[in-house]
Parts: sequence; structure tokens; C-alpha cells
Amino acid sequence: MISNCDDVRGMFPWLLNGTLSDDERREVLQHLATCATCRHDLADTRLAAEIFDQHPPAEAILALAWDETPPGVDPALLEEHLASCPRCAAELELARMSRRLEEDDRIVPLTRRTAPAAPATGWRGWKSAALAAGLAGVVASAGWFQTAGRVGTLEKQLAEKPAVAAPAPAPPAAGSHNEQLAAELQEKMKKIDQKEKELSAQLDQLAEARPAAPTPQMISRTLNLMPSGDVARGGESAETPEIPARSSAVLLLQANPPDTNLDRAVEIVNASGKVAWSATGLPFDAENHIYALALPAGLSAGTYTIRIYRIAADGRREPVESYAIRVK
Amino acid sequence: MATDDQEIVSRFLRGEADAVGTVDGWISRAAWPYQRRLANRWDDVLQDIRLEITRLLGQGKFRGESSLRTYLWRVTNHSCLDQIRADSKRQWTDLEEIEKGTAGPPPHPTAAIHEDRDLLWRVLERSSQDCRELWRMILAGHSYRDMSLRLGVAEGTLRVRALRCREKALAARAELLATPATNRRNAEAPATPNQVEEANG
Repeated sequence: MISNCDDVRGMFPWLLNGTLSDDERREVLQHLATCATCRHDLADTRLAAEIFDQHPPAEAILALAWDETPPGVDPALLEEHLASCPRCAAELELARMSRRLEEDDRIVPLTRRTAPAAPATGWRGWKSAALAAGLAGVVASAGWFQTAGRVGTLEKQLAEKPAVAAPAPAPPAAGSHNEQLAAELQEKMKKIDQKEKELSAQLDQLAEARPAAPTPQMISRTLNLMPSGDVARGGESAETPEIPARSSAVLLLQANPPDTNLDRAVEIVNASGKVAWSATGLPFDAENHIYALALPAGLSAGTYTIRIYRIAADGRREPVESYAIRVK
Repeated sequence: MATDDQEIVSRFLRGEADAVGTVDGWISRAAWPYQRRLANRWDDVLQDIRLEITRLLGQGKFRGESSLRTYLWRVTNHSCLDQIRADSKRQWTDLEEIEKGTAGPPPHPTAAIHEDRDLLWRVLERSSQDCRELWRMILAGHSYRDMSLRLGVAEGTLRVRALRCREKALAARAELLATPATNRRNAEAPATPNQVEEANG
């Protein structure tokens, strides 16, 4: 609730930036309608806002762009301002770009299209673009060949001049320009080579820092197992399916048609009768009468019996099927 | 002044096509980075620059301290920056709207606010960093509730701080206004290429 002049004055900055709520704004305006002192104060606040909304003079921006000391401006304040004012930072960048255009005539600014192009539709637009690109390529190639031809001609002309002629004539402007470009290109290529070497070295360092990749040994397999009896130490048959240790395998356990929908539990028991792994809620494919079991990791070499149990309502486990496997 | 530059100036002022073309090419190239920002009135901007350059060269403002090309480049950049700044001038809640229905004229004529930018910049230089930061947030359109949360100060404290900063800034302005303008401005740093020439002239 705004009750006095001090409250109203405190609101002025936000009245000017338009962020007061409707109620606050209405109260402030009502007060202003009757208080000349506050109206004067509001004008002062607006003047202060103008002061704090100042930006460095354009000549300071231009001086920075031309790597000169900004005239008559506190450099620290200017730096602080540029760091926090995207508008001025953008102006500086535009001026720097203009300076680059002054210094390097090889930069060709692209003329902006003044009228919007007619919207191309469907494949015709694509076709036009492709044709334009092709044409541009032909023109560029022709230009390149012409330039190359001119360079060749100039070189030939230079070579034909007598070597002892004195004084030596100045090289043609085009030739020197091309030489300059070639030198710059060579320099750039050197830099690229250097960067590539640095990158390669960094990649090598990265590779060394990484832990060695494990030897590829993952063999994913699916085994279709028929029910069998329990296996005992030394009693496994030659037909017992073999699974390499530390391999990934999915066992499809063929089952008899279930008589009930009771839950199934599974145990993997080693040849000594010790349970190596167990679980409940074994998925059952009722259509194909198959249990799908992902072979648990960590089974050491040996023979095992996979036992399927039916879990009765009172929690008792009734054996249903068993399957023999051998882990190598 | 280099003879070539003087010759270009003379021929440009006589309206010879090649000199006009040369200067026009420089203007277009120098102004090119600003084209996107001023696209809606680009032709007018270029025309204004041409007129300004014609005026400067016609009045003999270019005295050859730099090359003609560099001189025109700076004039063009200066003009473009001025145009951009004029476009992005902040639109404040209008005092006239607020004062609508109140008796008597506004205490400060609006024109007085748009005073010497150099003076206002000097005042800003004298302000503390805290004040500049506080008002920068206000100018960025933050509500006082938002600012209170961000700065971790009570809303009432925030309002008092803003008012104190305002008072300090206005006091600094009054102090600078009492100082002769020639003492305020760095005489070694005239503002624009025009002023460079005028100062020398």
C-alpha cells in the first residue's frame, strides 16, 4: 500500500520501466495527480534514467575498433560497459568488420538482396537451386582456369625476358598478387599441418589415458533346451549343451503345457547340489510353451541343472522341469 | 594531404563520375557491415552519408591527417553508428501520459533531458559501479520484486538505494554543468571526424 510521498518516489524507477503492477501504477498516478513535488521528482528520476542509460560515444567505439586509445573515456569504465552491454559490443564488432573491409580488399562483401525472392515451390525450387549451383560451379571453374591461364601466360612472359636485362622490370601486379596469395596459402597450410599434428598428439594422449578396451569376447547365443534329468558330478552326458563361461546366452527352455497359471521359480544347481543362482517370476511363453531365461553371469565352469518349480498357493515349491547345461 | 587524395576530392566535388564512383564504392564497402541492422532504410542511410561526406569535403574539413579512404571510412562508420543508436533509443513510459490531467506544465521540459550526451557520459563515469549495476537492471526492465530476489535485499532497501544513486547522479550532473564545457571535454579528443577538422580549423 502506497501511503506517502516517499513510497511514491521509491516506485518511480519501476514506474518508468513499466514493471509496476496495475494497482501500484494506479496508486502512483493518483498521487502524482495531486502532488507537484512528486511530479518534479519523477522528472528527476527520468533524467537519472537517461544518465544511467548512456553508452560510450561512437568515437570511442570507433577508436577501439581501429586499435586506438579511446579519446577522453575512462578505459576501465569502457571495458566494464562493453562487458555488460551487448548493444555496444555489437557496435564494436560491426566497426571492426568495417575496418577489416578497409584493410583487406580481397574480402568481397556479398550484396544483400533488396527484394525478397519469390517463394519457390516443390521440386522446381530444388531444381533451380541445383542448376544455380551447377552454373556457379562452371563459372567458378572458368574463372579459375582463366586465372590459371593468365598466371601461366605471365610466367611465360617473364621467362622469355632476357635474364641479363638491366634493370629488371617490376613483376606484373597480377603476378605479385598471386605470389602473395600463394605465400599466404602456404602459410595457412603450414598452420593447418601444425594444428593437425597437435590434434593427432592430443588424440594419442587421450587414447593412452583411456583404459584398454576389453578383448572382444561377447558371444551372444540362444540355446534351445529340452527337459532332462538332474545332472550329478561325473554324470553328464555328451549331449549336454555347452556354454562358454563369461558368455551371454539366452536359454529357451522347452516346457510341458502348464496345468495352472501359478508362478514359476528357477534354480541353477551345480553338480554338487548347491544352488548357484535362483529367481522367481520366470517368464513363460504360454503360446510356445517356453521359458526364456538369460543365463546369469558368474557361473564357473562345470555342469549345472536348471530346475523349474511351480509355486503353490501356500508357498510350497513343486518341481516341474529340469535342464542340464555345461559351462566350459 | 596526398596529391592523389586531393585530386579525388576535387574531382568528386566537380561531380566527375569516376571520382564519385570511387567514393561511393568506399562508402558502400565501409557501411556494408551495418546493412543488416539498417536494412529497412538502407538507401536513405547511404544517401545521408553521401550528403554528409559531400558537405565535409566541400567545406574543406578533410585536411589529410589520414588518407582520404580512412577518413571516409571513419565518417561512414560514425554515421552508421549514429543511425543505429537513434533506432535503439529507449522508449520510456511517457511523462506526458503520466502527467495527463495534472495541473501546470511539467517541471522539466522534455528537451532538457536530451542534453549533451558527452555530459551524461561524464556523469555516468562518476557514478559508482554499484549504482550503475543497480540502474542497469532497472533499465533492463526488471521489476523491483525480481531485483530484490536476485540481489538478496529487501524491496524497501532496494528502492532507497535506487533513489540514492539517482541523487548522486543528479548532483554530479549539477556539478559538471557548473563547469565550463571546455574544461569538461578532453580537448585532445574531439568527438567526430568533423570535430577533428573543426578543432584544427
